[in-house]
Amino acid sequence: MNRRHPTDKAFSERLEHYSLEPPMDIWNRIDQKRDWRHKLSNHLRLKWLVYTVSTFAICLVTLVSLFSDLSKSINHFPIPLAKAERAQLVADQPEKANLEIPAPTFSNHPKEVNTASTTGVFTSTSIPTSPIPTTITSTQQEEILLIAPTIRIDEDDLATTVYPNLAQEEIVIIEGSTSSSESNESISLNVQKENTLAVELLSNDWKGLETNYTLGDELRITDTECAKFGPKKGQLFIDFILSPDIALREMSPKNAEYNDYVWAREVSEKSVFAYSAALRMSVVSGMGFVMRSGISYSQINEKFEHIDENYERTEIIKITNSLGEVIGMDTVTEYGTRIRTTHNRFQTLDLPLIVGYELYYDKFAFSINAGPYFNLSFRQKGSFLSPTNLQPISFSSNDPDGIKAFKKQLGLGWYGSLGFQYRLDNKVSLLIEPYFKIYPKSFTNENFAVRQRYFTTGLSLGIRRQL
Amino acid sequence: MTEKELIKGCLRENRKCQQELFRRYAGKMLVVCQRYARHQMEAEDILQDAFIKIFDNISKFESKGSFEGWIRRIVINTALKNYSKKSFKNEQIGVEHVPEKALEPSIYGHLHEEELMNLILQLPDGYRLVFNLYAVEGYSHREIADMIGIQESTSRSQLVKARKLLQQKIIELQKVAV
Repeated sequence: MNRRHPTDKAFSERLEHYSLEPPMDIWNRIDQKRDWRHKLSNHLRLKWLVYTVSTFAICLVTLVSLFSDLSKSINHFPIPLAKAERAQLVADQPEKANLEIPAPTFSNHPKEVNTASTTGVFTSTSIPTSPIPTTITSTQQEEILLIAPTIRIDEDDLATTVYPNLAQEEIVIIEGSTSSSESNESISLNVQKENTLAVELLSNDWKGLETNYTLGDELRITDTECAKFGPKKGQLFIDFILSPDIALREMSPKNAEYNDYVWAREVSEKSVFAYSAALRMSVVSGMGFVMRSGISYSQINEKFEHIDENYERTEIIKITNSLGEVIGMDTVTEYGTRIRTTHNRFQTLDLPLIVGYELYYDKFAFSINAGPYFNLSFRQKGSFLSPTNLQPISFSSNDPDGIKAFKKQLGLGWYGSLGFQYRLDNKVSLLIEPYFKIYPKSFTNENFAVRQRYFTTGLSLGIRRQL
Repeated sequence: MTEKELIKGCLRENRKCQQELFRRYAGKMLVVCQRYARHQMEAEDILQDAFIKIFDNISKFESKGSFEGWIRRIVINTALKNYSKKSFKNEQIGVEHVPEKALEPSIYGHLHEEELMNLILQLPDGYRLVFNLYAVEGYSHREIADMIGIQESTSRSQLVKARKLLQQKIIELQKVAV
C-alpha cells in the first residue's frame, strides 16, 4: 500500500472541505445563459422516447390518412365496382347462385343512401339503422325497408328469383323509379305485419336475422356513408392572414422594491393597437388533420406619455440688429409643463408549428388549431420610465449602448385558434380565424426591475389558395 | 430539500431547485476552480460553464455514486478544457536545487486554507494542474496522462517539481513567520 506524501496529504485533507462564498452574479449569469434552447434540448433529451413515439405515431397517422384510399372522395362510392359486377353475374344466373336474402335493418327514421350505379341495379335505397321496438301492435302497419343493394333484378322477378323466401308473402312495390342519367332506383316494401316475413322476423332477435337472412359478405353493403366532398388525400394550401389584435399586458415587479415603479409604468403607458400578419403553408390530410407552418409577424403598439410639470428649458438666442448682424447673446429660460409622447413598438417574428383538424360541410370548413410559436426575433423601440429615477429613458434593440431591458428572443409562445372557411371556387377560400397567442416568459431580461408579458388575441382574416 | 428532491427538481428545470443546487455546491466548487484557474475571473468563468453543463446533463447522473463527486468531475473537466496543452508542456522552472528532504508534517498544520490555496496558485500552470489532480483529487498518473494528454512520466516529473516548489515556498513562509 502506497504511503501518501505528507505534502499531498496536507493539501488534500485541508482543502477537501474548504469553501468560499460564490458571487451570486454567477448564478444570474448561469440563469441567463441557460436560455430556452438549453432547457428545450434538455427536455427533449429527457423525453426523447415519448417524443419519438409520438412523432412516429403522428407521421404514421398522417401517412395513412394521406395515402389510404378512403371512401371520402366523390369518385369512390361505398361499393366497389367489382362487387357490383359480381352481384350482376349472380343475378343473371340466379339458379346457380346460393343466395340468401340480405338481412334487413330497421329504423324508425330510415335515411337515403347511394349505392353502386350500374344499369338495373338498385342504387338508391332506404337504409334503416336500428331495429324497430318490438312493441309494435299487430294492427299497426309498418313500412319496412329492405336493402337489395347490388342485385340486378327485374321488378317482376323480385319475389320469385332473388327473394324466394318472400314468394308467399305480400310484397308491394310502392315506389320504383329509374333515372335515365344515373340509373338510380328506389325500392321499398310495404308489408302487412300479420303475413310478412319482416314482421315475422321482428319477433326474433337480431342474431337470428343475421343467421337466416344474409347475403355473402361480398354482397353486403359494408359502408353506408355518403360520399363526402372534403379534401382528397393530402392537399397543400397557402394561407395569407392579417389580423387586428388586442394585446393585454401583464406587468409584475421583480421584488417589492419595484411596486411603485410598476404603478408608474402602468399609469404612463397604455396599449394602442396591435396587428399581425402571417404567411403559412397548410398540409391537410384526407382525414382532416392539418399541419401548418410558415412565418408570422406581429407588432404591439403602446403609447408612452410623460408629463413634466416643472419643465425648464434654457435657450441661448442671438440678438441681431436691423441689418441682421449679431450684436449680443441672451439666455432665455422657459418654465412650463412638458408632455412627452412616444409610440413604443414591440415587433416579433415567429415560426409557427400548428396542428389542427378540419371539418368540411359543402362550401364551408371549420378547423381547430393549436401549437407552439418559436420566436425568431424580438425587436423593440420606444421610451419608458427609468427604474432608477422614474425619468423617461429610451430603449431600442438597435442601440447597443441603450438600456438592456428587453430580451433578444422571447422563446416559445403558444397559439390556439378556431378557423372558418368559405370556399369561393375550387382553389380559393376565405378565412376567418379568431385566435389567441401567449408568451409564457417575460419580454424583459431577468435582471430588469419588472416582468412584462403579453397575451394577444385577434381576428385573423385571410385568403387560402390550394397549391 | 434532500439531494434526491433537488436532482428531481433540476430534471424538471425547476429554477428554485437549480438555484438551491448552485447555492449548496458552488462554494466548494469555486475553490476547485480557483485551484485550476490562472485568476479569479477565470475561476468564475469555469464555475459558470461547469454549472451550465451540470444543469444540461443532470439526467445523465446515475444515483449510484456521490452527487458531489459527479459535480466535481464536471468542474474539473471544464477547468481542464480551459487549458491549452502548450501552456505548460514546455515550462522550465528552476527548482532542481531544492533539497529533497521532506518537511515535518507539523509544519503544514500551522498553515491556513487560504495560505495553502495561495501556495497552489503560485505554482506554474503545469505543476499546479498535475499537483491538483494527483495530490488533491486523487487521480493516478495514468489517468492524469489521459486527461490532459501528456506522458505518464511527464506527470510524475511535474508532480515531483510541484512538491519541491511548494516545500520551498513553505520554508520561506516559515522563515518569515520566525
